[in-house]
Amino acid sequence: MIFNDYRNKAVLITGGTAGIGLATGLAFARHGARVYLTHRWASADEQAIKSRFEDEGCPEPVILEADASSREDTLNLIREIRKSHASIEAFISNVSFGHISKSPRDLDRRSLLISLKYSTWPILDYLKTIKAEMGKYPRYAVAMSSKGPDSYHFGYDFIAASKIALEILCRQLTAALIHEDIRINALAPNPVFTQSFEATFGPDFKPYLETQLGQYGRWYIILPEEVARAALALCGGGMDAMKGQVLKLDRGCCFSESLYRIYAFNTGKCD
Amino acid sequence: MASREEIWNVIHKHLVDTVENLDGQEIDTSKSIMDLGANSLDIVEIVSCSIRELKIKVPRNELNNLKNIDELIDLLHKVSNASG
Repeated sequence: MIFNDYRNKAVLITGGTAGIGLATGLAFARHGARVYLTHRWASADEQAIKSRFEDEGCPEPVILEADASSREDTLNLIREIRKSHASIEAFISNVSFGHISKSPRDLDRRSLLISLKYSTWPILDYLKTIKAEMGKYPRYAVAMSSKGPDSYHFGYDFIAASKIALEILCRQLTAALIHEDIRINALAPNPVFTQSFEATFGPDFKPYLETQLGQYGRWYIILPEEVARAALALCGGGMDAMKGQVLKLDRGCCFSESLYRIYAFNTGKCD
Repeated sequence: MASREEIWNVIHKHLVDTVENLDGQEIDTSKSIMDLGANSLDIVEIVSCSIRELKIKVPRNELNNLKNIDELIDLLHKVSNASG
C-alpha cells in the first residue's frame, strides 16, 4: 500500500531503462509519478520503453542519457529535471558496474577505483548535486546493493567491495543527514535475472542455476518486479521511520540455504 | 564530423591513458583492445571516454560485435559522419 501521492512528482532512477531500474520506473509510474530513467551509450530502445508505460496507462517517462560516474552528466541531468520539477521525491541509485576478475592476479587498484566510481560514488554525487541544485534532498533514496557483501561469489570481489561501501555510505549519510527530510535505505536482493546478471556472470550461469537448483531455484531467484515493489514500499510513506537500513530480498534464503537443504528440497525429502 | 585519423587519435589517447605500458608503443589496430592487455572494465572506459570526447551516440548493440580496433574506428567514424 502506498500512502504518498506520487502524481506529477519526479522520481529519478539511474540505469532505469532495463531490468530492476525499468521495473522500478514502472512501479512508480503506475502511481502517477513522472519518472526520469537514465541510461548510457544509447542502450535504450526509447520507443519500446515509452510504449510499455503507455500500455499501462502511466505518464510518459523521460529517458535521458547520463553516465552515473560523470560529474558533468549528473549536473546536466539534475538541471534538466529542475526545468520541470522543483524537487525530486525519490531517487533510486540503481546503476552498477564493476570489474569481474578471473583470478586474484587481475585484481588491480585501477579496476577497484573504477568499480567504486560506477557503483558507489553515484549515490553521494547525485544526492549532493540534487541538494546543491534544488535546495533540498529527495525525500527518499534507495540504493541497490546485492548479495555480494554477505557471501562469496567467484570474480565478484570488486563489485562486492563497491556494494558494501555503498551500504556503509547509506548508513553514514543517514546519520549525517538526521535533520534533513530524507530517508536513505538499501535493498540487497538475491540474484535477479537481468541483462546485468548475464553481463556479470556470463550467459551460461542462468541455465546452469535453473538446472542445478531445480525447484529451489524458484525461491532463490528474485524477480525485478519484486525489487521494484520493495523500492516503492520504502518510498511509499508507510515506512518513513526506517532509515539507514539494508534490507535483504532473499525469501529467507540467507539463513536456510545449504547444499543439504537444496538436495532435500529437490528430492522430496522435505516439504 | 571527425576524420578517421582524428577518431583514431582520440581512441589512442584513451587507450594509452587506460592500459599500462602502451605509451610510446606502436599499436596494431588489427588487434582487439583486450589483446593489448585491457580487461572488460578498461574497454568500457576507453570506448565511453572516446564516445564522450567525440560527442556522438553509439547504440550498445553495435559496440558488442566489434572484433578489433579497426572496426571500432570504422564504427565511430560512421556514426560521426552520420551525426555531423
